[in-house]
Amino acid sequence: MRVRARPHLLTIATIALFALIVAACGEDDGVEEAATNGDWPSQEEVVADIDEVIAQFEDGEYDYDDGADTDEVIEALQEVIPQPDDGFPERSIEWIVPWGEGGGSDNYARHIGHDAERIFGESIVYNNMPGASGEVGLGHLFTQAADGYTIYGAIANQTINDALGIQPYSFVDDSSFVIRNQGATEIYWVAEDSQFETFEEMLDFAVDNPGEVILSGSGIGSDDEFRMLSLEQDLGTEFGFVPFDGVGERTSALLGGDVDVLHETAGTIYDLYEDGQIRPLAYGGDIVFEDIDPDIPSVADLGYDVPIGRWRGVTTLADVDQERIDYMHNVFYAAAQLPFYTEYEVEFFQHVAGGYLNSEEFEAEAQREREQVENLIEELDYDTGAVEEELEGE
Amino acid sequence: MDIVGGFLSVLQPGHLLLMITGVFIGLVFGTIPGLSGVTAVALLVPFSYALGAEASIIMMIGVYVAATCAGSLAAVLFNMPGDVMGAATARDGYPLTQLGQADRAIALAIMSSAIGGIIGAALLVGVAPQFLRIALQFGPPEYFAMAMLGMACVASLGTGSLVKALIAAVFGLMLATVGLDPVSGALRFTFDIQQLQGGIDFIPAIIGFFAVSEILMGIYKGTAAGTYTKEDIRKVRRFPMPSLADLKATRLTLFRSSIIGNFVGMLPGAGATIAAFLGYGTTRQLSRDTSKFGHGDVRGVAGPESANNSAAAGSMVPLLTLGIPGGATTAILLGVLILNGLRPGPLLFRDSPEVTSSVFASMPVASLLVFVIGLLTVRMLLRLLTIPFKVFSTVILVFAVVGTFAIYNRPVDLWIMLFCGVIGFFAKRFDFPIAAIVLGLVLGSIAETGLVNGIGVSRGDWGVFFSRPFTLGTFAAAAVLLLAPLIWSAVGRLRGGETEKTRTSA
Repeated sequence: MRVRARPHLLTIATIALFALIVAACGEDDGVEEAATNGDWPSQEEVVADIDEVIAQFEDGEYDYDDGADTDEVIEALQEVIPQPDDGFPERSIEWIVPWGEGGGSDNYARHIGHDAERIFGESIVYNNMPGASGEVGLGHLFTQAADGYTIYGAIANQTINDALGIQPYSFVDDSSFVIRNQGATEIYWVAEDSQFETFEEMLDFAVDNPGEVILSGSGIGSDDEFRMLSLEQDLGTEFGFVPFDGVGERTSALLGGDVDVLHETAGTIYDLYEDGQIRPLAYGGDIVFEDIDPDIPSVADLGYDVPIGRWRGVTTLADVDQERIDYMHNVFYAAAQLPFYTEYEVEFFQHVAGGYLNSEEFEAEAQREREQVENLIEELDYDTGAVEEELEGE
Repeated sequence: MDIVGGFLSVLQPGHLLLMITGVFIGLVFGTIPGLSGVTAVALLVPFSYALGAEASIIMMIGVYVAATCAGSLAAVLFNMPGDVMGAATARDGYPLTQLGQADRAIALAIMSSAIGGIIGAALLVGVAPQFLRIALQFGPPEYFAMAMLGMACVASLGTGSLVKALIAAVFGLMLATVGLDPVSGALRFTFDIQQLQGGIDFIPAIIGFFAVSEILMGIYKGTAAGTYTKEDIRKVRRFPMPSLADLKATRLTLFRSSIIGNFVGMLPGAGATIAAFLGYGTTRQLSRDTSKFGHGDVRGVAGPESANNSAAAGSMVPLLTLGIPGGATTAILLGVLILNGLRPGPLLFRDSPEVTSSVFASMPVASLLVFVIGLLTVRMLLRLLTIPFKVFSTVILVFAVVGTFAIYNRPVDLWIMLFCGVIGFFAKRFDFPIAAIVLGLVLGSIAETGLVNGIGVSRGDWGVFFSRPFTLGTFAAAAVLLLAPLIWSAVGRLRGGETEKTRTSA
């Protein structure tokens, strides 16, 4: 029996060898994808490996020095993150930050980019290109080559603008989604001496007195406005919405009594809360931030829809090679676990919301958000001049 | 506030060196037409990651204070203001240069800047803490009123024709509407050009209006560039203090403008920009003898310059206490504070006293440094006027392109710059005041959001613009500014020939 088994083994070995040779030759024959996909790990697998390295790092196994070109933890991470065969990236990566220097998107890019650069082994060039709530930068991205060397720091406004349909492109359809790192941390705040004690008291008052409660947030067509519109729709009432571009203007309008309720991120005005000048009525999304006040409800807890939140993430052009997207996802995921970034998140109170999504989840979520905002626009007959124009055109 | 500790911190050798570096960078960037203080500060932001909060803020304030002064030096020397505020100084500063008195104008501008900066900083320390209460009353209707006060200054900008000044201002307001409407989100005047959705930013616009148009004008009929000779410069002293006569003529102006500038600068929003024009406007409208304004009156240099720099100090108040920047440069300073983990707000004074006291101590120190370094470089600056126009204009065009692009990295800004340059040329050719266009552009969006949000917070009641004490007061001040010349001329008519005599003798 033993003797007769050998030819079988030999046959299997021969077939296996042949298959390998075919696979190897295949690279030249355009069947590369089938071959490499076999051993190219999924984002989930690499994330598990990265988590392991990070756990070891947190146990003190590796050195970390964010001032150095590289260090032990970066080398360990480079080991577990597979690099595309073509050696990407071979030159610096341009990150389009479609908002000004020192703003939220700029801080996010430069903090996550700090350790990502070290893992890439190539630098990231930040290109601040503000205008039209991110669309000027996005328009520029779409004129660049789809090679992964130009990436874009997106926020929730892009899905809303896509739903509004005023751009010559579609953000959701024309982008590859790399990674989402930050979730929404907005809270509905009132001034300390406000007449409203609870969120529902405020809503009741708004239902009885349509248009009397003035809400503020960050601009027309923002996630702030659509969260408010969704509440209006659920309640069948109206708020006054008075947007301000700068967080300084918004908070002084709240403290000065010009607006009644402010929908604002926790991190930017936490000091005022600590000082007792403002208090939270409800968390804007579906998470209760225990660190701030565990007794305050979230809007989702109260049974209202939350169509969108202010997330931040990285996208690029639609045709970028999947291996490059996976690689960038893995690198940014790893960078987001390292102290340079995590300390920044804590400082800005961003850590409370989580918000990490991998490429696939990020894309699905963006599609869901766009659909929900589109429904809102349709049901509310939301009237930007541009939307009307488009309807007339049809 | 520990102001002594602040001074001790600023005067540490390391910090002082950073500040001198900052002042130098600010002077260079501010003086070269096309580049500006905003460019300098924006390019320095990445360094602040390495420098830490206190050091980077001290350096940035050096840049800010120096560039505020230097923006006007470019205005005086080449009629190419580096920022909006400089446009006010150009109106009387540049005629002095054309008269061959560039050294006198520059020395006075630098002196006024320093005095304005120091008076402003002194007021700041005394008034800032109390001011917070008033500032919180400052809502959208007040922004609108402020913008209207600024627009009232247009009356003092016309070279003869008030109608032309108004046309120019309205054109500026129209430019401000281009892009995504801040109130309804609709697209306005974008002509299906996606890049125009960001609107017309005022930095590319002023580089076009001031620098490019002046080059075109130079080709058309010559400028002061290249008209100075080495002998002219040799006559200028190495440390040319302004003459006693000039100081005497401007002492009241300096004092008044510094105080006005400081308070207007403290108001959140566009304080610093409005301050310079108010400094010019009040100086001109409150003077009995206005015949020399626009033709090289020293008061027309001292007024806006001192107001402008005093406002720069004042604008630190809304920046630190409310987190509201007064202009493009302070907006970036705000970013620097935030990315260093400092949250501007009422608590900044309590939580990071060392930063706030360093900021306050930095302002007068930077003003002194600008004064000394500025006057030492007057001869160098004048040498720029000996460069032949064909060389000068080529180099400036390069800087204009680089400076425009470096701020937002948007190609469309270059087209905006060229467009504004051509418009600016024709405006100059037919005597429309460019400063009025720029004022309209800068104040347009502030006025618009102020108006619409003002109606928003009052739930649809227009009366809000007249029922709040501050708005009413501001509208009253605007009325005084507009009517003052009429009153003076009425007084003059009553007195008969007396005014006529002073006019002719002047």
